[in-house]
Amino acid sequence: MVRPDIVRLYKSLHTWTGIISGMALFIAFYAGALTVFKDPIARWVSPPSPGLESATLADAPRLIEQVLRERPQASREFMLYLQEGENVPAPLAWRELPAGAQPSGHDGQGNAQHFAARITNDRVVVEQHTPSALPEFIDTLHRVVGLPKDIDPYRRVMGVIAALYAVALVSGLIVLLPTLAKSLFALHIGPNLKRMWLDAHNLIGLASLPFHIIMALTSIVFAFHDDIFAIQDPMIHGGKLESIWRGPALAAQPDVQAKPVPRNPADMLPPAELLAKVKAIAPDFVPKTMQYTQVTGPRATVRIWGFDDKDIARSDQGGLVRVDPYSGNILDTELLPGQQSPAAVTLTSFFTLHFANFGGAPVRWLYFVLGLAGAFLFYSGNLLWIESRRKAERKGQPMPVQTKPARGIAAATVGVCLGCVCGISLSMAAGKWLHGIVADLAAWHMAVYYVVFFACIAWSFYVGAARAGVHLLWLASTSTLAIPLTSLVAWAMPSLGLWAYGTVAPLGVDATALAAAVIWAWLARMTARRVVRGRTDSVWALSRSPSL
Amino acid sequence: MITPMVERPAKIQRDWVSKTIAGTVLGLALALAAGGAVMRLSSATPMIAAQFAMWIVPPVWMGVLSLCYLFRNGLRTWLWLGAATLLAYALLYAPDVIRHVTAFAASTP
Repeated sequence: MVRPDIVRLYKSLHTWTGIISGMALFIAFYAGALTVFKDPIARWVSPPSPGLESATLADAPRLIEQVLRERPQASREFMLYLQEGENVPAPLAWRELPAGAQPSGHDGQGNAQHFAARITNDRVVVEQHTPSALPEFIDTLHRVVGLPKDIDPYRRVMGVIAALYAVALVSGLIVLLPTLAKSLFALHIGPNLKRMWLDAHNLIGLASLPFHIIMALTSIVFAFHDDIFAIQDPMIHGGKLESIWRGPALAAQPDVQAKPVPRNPADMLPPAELLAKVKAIAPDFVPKTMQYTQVTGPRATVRIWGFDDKDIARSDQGGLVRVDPYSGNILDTELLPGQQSPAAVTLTSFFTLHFANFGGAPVRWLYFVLGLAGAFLFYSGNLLWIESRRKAERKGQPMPVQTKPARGIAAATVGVCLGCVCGISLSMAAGKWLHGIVADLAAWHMAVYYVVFFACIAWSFYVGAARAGVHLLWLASTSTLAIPLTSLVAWAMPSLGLWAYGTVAPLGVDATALAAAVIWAWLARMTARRVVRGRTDSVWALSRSPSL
Repeated sequence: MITPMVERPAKIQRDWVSKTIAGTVLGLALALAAGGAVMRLSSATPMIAAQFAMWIVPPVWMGVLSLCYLFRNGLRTWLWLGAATLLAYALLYAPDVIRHVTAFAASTP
């Protein structure tokens, strides 16, 4: 049995790691749950465009050749889209750094402009096209725990939070061990609210423990993998990590000479032929995008991304096969679904378990629920700490004022968590309303989110957690209701310049938002009852004095 | 009433700062060494093995950091984890050291 002094020690550890990282983790898990449905959200928020209708695969060589002639920067990297989608603007897309712009972001393309090319009236038309920043912004919020950009310093912050989270998981488990059997089936629903919240916290934590272990470990990897590789390179790889990545087939490609002769992209094999070669070795692989890189250089490569329902894939873009576009040689099948070696499959599984791209829709919905349950864990953890610090009312004594830390954490928890919910919902609705009205919609998505987020926190500190909880839950309900309402208005009044799609994915977004709005409203009513009828010696009671 | 004298194990000392630093620093060192062990022992291609070597770092690191508070006090944490780290790196680099020494011995006339 675990000694009581050890349990006490680990309870302290669990409490502090939980309180410090809890609110950041709420944001990561709430935005992460939404990111499971990044593609449907992208389809929902993308304005109508000709998409892939304009060009067939046979037109691709002509499209590529003309684009590379007119816009040489595209030779660095361009994408050929093979599958339809409301969020696929055109068959060919690439990014260019405007003159004088600095590279930034995890891939150096933070300040790049987006371009797309299509065929209209048998002519190749190049236009600047900005994909919606909303899905990427929600993803960024989840990747860097609410910070605005996915850059390495912010990732390291997330990594520290993830490390605290990992320690909180182990310590929570140790605390629960002595009473594990009893706790497994305990859920005391009744007047003892603290007991009920504690049981719910323990039950949900225990049931979703495998999910949380996966998330904690994968997040630490995502934060620190570059740093770990950087240390391990001299330490265990003898400084040869770069050549290890290139692997044997790619190492056979000629080394970069002092002044490489630029190759003529017109010599590249047509995409249809490259796809046929891939199909010959992987008949069940369904390609989705072709990513061409360095096409005028000696190491020109095309990564063909796609999925195979019978195997697992590395990323949310699928698995990939690397092909030489000039010779048609398959360079690397390590990450090709259906062809992965057992060791590669194991590695891929680590990624897949984070991204939920296995098992189709049921698994995605499972991860969505687990993500929201996780957010509840962090919210309830803070609430439990506040309750444990509660100064009880004594007979004949004046009503005790709850401690400043307790009131502060209560206000912060309510403000941060509900502020995140409201901010994301309003930012989503803004994606349709502000389209075509503002110049930089991406900036507005961020502005709407952060203004709402900080306003909710400020309000929560101003009126106290009890009142703010009710207000912000109602705000969460109305702002989330705005999402399907916007689609309804768009359908009913086409003259407004909004849009709404009747396809499955965007409708799913509207339906889920509607259900969520109802749930937030129900929670608002429950909370309103609690602050009026519940115990008055608590941060959750409406105090007689107006603010803190 | 006579209370019997019972030998109770000494209560655990929290020593938060000392244990946390040991768990973080030595835990990372042990985790990196575990990566080295993976590289040596894995039969997969280097490209795959190098990735496993990176992936093993977080679980080992977090495992050591989470469990280091079980030591009775900060000093013991440093002593045990320090010894483990030295042993891990000795094992990791022993083949290289042996190789260099035998090559040197073979080259001298």
